[in-house]
Amino acid sequence: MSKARQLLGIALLACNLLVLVRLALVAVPWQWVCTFALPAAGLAIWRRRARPFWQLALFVLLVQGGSLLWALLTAPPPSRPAALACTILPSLAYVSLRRRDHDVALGLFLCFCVLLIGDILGGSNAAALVAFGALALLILRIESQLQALQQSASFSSPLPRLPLLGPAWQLFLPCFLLFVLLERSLGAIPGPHRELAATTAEQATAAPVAEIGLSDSFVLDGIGDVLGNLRGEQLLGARHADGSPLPNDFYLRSGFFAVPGLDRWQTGSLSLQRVREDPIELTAPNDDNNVQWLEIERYAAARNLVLLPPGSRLLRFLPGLRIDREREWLRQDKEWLLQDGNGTRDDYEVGYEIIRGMPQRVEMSWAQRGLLDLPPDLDIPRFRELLRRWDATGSPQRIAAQIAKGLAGHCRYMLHEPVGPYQQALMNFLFAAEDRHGYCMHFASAAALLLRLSGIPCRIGVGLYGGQADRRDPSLRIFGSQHAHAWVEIPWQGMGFQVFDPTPAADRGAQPRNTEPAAVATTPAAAEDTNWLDSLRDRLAQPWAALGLLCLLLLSWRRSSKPTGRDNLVPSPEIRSARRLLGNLLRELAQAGCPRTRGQTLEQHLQRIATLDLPVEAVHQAYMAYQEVRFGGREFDATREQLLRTAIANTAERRASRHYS
Amino acid sequence: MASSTTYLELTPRGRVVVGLGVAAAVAGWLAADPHARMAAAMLLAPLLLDLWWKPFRLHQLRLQPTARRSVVGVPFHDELTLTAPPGSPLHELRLQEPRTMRHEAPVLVPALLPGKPHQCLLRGRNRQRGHLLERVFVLTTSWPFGFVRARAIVAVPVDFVIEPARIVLPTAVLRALALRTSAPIAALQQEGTEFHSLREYQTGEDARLVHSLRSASLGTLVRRVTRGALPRTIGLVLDLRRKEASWRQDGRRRFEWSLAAAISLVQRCRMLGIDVDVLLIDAEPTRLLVHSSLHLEELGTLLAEAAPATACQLAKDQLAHLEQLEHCYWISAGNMPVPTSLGDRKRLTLLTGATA
Repeated sequence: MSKARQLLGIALLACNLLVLVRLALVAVPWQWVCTFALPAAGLAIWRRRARPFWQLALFVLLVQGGSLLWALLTAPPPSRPAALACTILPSLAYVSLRRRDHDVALGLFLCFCVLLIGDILGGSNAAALVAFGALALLILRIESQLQALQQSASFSSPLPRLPLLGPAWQLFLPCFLLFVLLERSLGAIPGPHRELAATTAEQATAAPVAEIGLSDSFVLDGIGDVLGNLRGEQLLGARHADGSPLPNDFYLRSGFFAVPGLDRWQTGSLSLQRVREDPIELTAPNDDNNVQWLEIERYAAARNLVLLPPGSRLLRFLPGLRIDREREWLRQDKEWLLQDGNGTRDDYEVGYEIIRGMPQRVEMSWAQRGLLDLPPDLDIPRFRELLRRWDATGSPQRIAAQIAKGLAGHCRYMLHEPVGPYQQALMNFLFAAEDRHGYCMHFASAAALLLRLSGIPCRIGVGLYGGQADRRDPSLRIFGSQHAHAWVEIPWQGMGFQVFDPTPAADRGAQPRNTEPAAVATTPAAAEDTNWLDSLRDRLAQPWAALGLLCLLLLSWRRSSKPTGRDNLVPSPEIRSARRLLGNLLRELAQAGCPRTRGQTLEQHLQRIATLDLPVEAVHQAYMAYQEVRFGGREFDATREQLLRTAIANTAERRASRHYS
Repeated sequence: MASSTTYLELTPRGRVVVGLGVAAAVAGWLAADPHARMAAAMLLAPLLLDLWWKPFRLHQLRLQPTARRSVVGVPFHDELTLTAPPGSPLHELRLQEPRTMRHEAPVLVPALLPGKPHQCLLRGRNRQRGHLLERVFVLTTSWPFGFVRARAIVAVPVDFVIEPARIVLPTAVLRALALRTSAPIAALQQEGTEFHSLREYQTGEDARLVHSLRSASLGTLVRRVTRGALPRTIGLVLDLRRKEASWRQDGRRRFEWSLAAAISLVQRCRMLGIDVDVLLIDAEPTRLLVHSSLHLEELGTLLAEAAPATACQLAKDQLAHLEQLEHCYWISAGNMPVPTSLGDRKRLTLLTGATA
């Protein structure tokens, strides 16, 4: 048992250190953490021996005061939330070292509070959570075992050795899974302020600069609706106006990002114009005969998006735009749309120019407009080494092709974040020792940086790729969030920005599934065409499905058994009859002024009855008869029943006689 | 027969955790705060796991106590065989019998594998006589985390006789049996153990009683005379009848004492080799000749089940056998007087509660 106590103390101390270090790393300067924790810990240790009060007070005054002074001199003052967090630290340290009976549970709870504060102030850290969870389970387990030992007697010496943890998988892993399930399920329950929070978040991030994060799903635009927040099988449908089929590798751009970063790309500066006329000429086409008209119909969730194919020249049925013609960037002007009388159309048409022939030259003027910029923290030699190894030399087309080929051979497409020793995902994608993997975002970002390093201006384009042919109308292609994609765009002379896609062809169009709830965009026609399997998959992805699955799992783990004769929880009819008569007797006695109090045995009640003017003998016989049936296994025969009834009658009679007298 | 059941209850720690977890979950739902949700999940996950690991069929655990008898007030050790029901093993099980272990701590069983018998030792003490047909055990476990406690009440059919307590009888009670053997040997008497005097040996007496040294010194045969010669068979009448009067507390105490005195006396006589012809005056009078340990056990069972009987008339020849006995004890467990029809009162010793 002493070893268990020692282990308990060590585990609690480790828990304390974990949460304090975490707090010091993320939110509170370590000097302040020490100032508030160490004096209390010292007091707890010093107080283990009986000390006079004045000694304790002096200790506290000197040590705490000195610590505060030291912290004030050496550390910046903590922020307000951090200062509030520090108020809990003395209690934590004191309770954890005091070694009284209930201190372990209290100390663990305070550790939990401090951990929570650290997460709120500095963000969640999975490793800290897992470590705390493991320690907490260990502490709970040891304490439960110690309680069982303390409350029990054992006639064997030494005390039985109890297994401390049991198989770890039986305790820790299920607890961890339950934690994940619970957290996800609670998050999936729609709350009353979810939409408001989402709207607030969107408004808060509204800025002319948009970001795309390599560790995120597509976050295309900081203004208005964001493609990454939409989920659904159908966002829009596109068809050629002349009925000709759309190619399988059709790109629809929603936005671009030109300012590079190893973690994030930004759109960069834009020269926006407000355009009200309809139709709009974005740029003059080189050859009007090469202009193909594309009809785009937006479904419910994508109503505020404008997606255009590369090479778009003309636009109609889409008034109220803000456009950067040169950069081929446009958005609908929401303010204009919200004015009275202005509405949005679900469909619009875009004329894009089909480029025939290979592009010749890169438009190098873009180099001065930031499309050759590189991130300041880019490890250029390593990237150059990759270019050298892949023989990315020669013409821009060859360089691009070699980079795509090199990336396909060097990295693996996988719908998971790259993992590795580097902080940036892109570095892990390119330079991890093993299993370099990533998805389209990483391919596009790596290719763009390599192209820029090779002197080719470029940017990252994001949008939808491929789509799926509608079954009833082969000329219509339906695009959904599953077709979201990222690629590289290179400005060619006379062509504008054209697509260069470094993602392996077989993997284009796939993206990580997001667990956020889906806003399904449907049309009447599309609803009929929904595949039952896809429909089932969508339903299973719903939040309530996760919660229901959790409940089912918990219920199914309760091993139900068929009731046997021994398990029959319903008392036998005889006992029920006896109990009923006993209840009547007790009721009569209560009315006669001798109620049976809670916890009072029948024998004690009888003793009380004996002091009152009540038929104690009959009651005694009745009690005996009942107990013989209830506990003695005797039959509830006529004799015993008569005894009970006699007692009831006698009591009623005695009560009546007292009432009338 | 009591039915076996299993209950689940939250410990005080569990209640606190549930309260905090639910509060955090509600706060997380209202404010859509991920930290509150995470806190709720961290609080509720181990509690749910604790609940999941609880044995819901703990009452199906098989308990096999050894067949035994007990005496009121005497501590005893009882060996139980526990066999866990099929399923997961049971951990940190605490076993207690409330009736006999009121002031004893529960016994801890570290682990019970399903289907594998496990022996454990209970220490108990009965405070009330009786003849139990079932024993009720309470099993509890809080494994693994102590948030939820499973408690099962298991009733085991037994034949458990709890005999009345053994008390110390006054010396005068047994001394009443002792007779001077100044008269020729009677076949119904047996020699006492206490030396009293010497007298002349008479022809026909047991030669082993001759005191050899004194005979040699006196030149004539002398024999030892012992005091305390005890009869071989005595009678004991235990009258359980009671007048129809209010039942007072001291009446019950006297009743229990009478039973204890009866069995203590019989046991003492048996130790001295005396057979006891016991007559139990009850609603159905019972007569039992106690001349072996089995009969003593049978008497103990009868007394364990004894209860006051209503006053009734004795049959005419009910007490006739007492005439042939050298000595008889009368214990009036109720408050009925000794019948006047009883003959020679000189050979009758009355035991009451006042005798104690």
